[in-house]
Amino acid sequence: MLRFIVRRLVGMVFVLFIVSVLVFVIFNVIPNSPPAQRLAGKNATPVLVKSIEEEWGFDEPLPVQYATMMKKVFTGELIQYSPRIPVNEQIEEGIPATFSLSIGAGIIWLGFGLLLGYLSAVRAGGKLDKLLTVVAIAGISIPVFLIAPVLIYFLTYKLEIFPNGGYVKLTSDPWEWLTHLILPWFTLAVLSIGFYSRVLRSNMLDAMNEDYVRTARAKGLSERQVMTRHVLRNSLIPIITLFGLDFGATIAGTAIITEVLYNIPGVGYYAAHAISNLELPPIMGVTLYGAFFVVFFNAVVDIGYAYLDPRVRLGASAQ
Amino acid sequence: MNPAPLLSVRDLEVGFATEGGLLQAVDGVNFDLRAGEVLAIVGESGSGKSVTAQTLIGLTRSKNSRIEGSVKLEGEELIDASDATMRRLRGDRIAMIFQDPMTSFNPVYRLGNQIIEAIRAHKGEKLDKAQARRRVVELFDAVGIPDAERRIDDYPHEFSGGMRQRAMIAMALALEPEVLIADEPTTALDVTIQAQILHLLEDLNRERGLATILITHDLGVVAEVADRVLVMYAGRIVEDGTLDEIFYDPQHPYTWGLMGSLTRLDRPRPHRLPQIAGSPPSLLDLPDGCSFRPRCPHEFSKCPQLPDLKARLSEAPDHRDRCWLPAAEKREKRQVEGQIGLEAPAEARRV
Repeated sequence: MLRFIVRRLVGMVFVLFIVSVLVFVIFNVIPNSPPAQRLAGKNATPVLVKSIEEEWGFDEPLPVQYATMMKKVFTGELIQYSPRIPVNEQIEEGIPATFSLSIGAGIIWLGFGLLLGYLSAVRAGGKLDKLLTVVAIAGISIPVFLIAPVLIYFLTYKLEIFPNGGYVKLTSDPWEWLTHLILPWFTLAVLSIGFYSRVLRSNMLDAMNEDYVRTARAKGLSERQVMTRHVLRNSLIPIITLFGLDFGATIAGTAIITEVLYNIPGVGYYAAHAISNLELPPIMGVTLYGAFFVVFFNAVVDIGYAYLDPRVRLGASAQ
Repeated sequence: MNPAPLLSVRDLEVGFATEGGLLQAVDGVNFDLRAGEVLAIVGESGSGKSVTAQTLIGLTRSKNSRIEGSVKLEGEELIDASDATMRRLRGDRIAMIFQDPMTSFNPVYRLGNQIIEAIRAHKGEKLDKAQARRRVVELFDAVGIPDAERRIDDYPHEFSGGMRQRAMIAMALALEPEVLIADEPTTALDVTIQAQILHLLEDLNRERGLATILITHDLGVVAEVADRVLVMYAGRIVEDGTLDEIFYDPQHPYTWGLMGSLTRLDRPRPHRLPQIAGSPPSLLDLPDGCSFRPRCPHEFSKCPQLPDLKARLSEAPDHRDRCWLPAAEKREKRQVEGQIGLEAPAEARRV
């Protein structure tokens, strides 16, 4: 198992290296204009452009340029030029909000997705299943930019149950933190709840026909034990894969729309502003940050996978 | 006299509602099973043998199934027993092992734990972990799995097919059931392993007085271990007798066909392996009368009426069959090229 983890982490570092090279190529090599000009921002002075050109070593060979960029990324010298703010500080500032939003939403969508999917599968073909199918399809079909304004309009303006957007730090007021995040959490989770419940339902219906489920019944387990220990447990494996990918992607940027709509100053909010102002260094930084989390959660998922399914471990140790 | 049967099945009917109508998978099955007896149920795929077996422990109960008749375990009726009663009985008094040991264990749990799960499902928390583990080690030893102490912590994929089937048998024995249903226990195994598993079943049967229902389509397996044989065709029993009666004096043409399609090492190798012409009828659209009629070269005027399953030989009152032909005529017609078999149908002979 340890060997498997180490192998997976080494793989992760390799993937991140490839991603960073791609980011370098896309931002600094491919565009057909002086990179310093673009990095400097829209209304940069020639002096600033000149100093950026020297700082980034754009007259050096490409591998040296790549090394310079990576050095800046790791030492916190990747800087947004107008106004002059280090990118890593901005990202660090946004992380608590983005993580609060993503983790809460992740728990909600996984919890509700599993619950609704389980109920649907156990009652397959029944009234409850049909109702949940409609709910799930509706959840999948309604886009975030529709659901958020509707929720804000009814629950915030009309009924005044929830505060109107913004973010309060967990450390300064946990209750306010919670009430500010409930609507964004559900907004972000709705699509995945629908999707996960459908996937779990069909996985469970497949698993119910497996021979080992018949064996479990034949040895006299109760229907609930059969469903939870054998059907559900084996159906969770693909769900975990999906969750790792989706959760990584949410932290990495899927939450952008939700953060903007609810005025939450997270990483996505920062990225959205950088994009509208054509600030390249922040976009570069956020891209690398996003790539890191996607790859990281993928590795976590693979390790969790090996825990859930012993056959995966065998494949690793056999090599 | 014979002791009272352990398991007694009367007029068992199992039907499933399908889009094409009611599918009568089992139609009027009767048999008794006594302690220590091995009863083989033989038939082609779709003959209803597995459905019969699964119905005994209530595994075919569903919204879409219609089950009638009577199944009594030591006098207790099981057909209308509650689901909870059936659950308590499964694994504890009637255990079942399945055809494919590769897929019949859950791949994500250790084998020992899957057996402990079965024990705990019946003994509850009275049994602590250490006791349960000791019990599993004993069981692994009993079914001939070497190094049991260590191997109970293996996952199913770490076992070979034969070892997995042994583990499956160990699990079935965990609660010392009175009846063991073995649904094609050797079909998925190599021939050498098949013999080992059969001998293991035979030993257990002898040592523990376990009544066994062996479901198979392999007459070689039947000859090896069975005391009595039921031959099923299209959901009905067509012949029922002791091993010797079925093998040396088979009364139903379908049984002859099964015997004829065995290849024998003590005879010259046939040019082509013999087979029964045609294919089994659809259970949704059975012919009137004898279901085997369309494939039977000996069909005559009485066949459109369904013959009862009854003893037709005065010297063998327990040998029952469903065929209208007079016994003397049967003994003559079943001789094909010096051995028991089913004549090829007229069209095939002309070719």
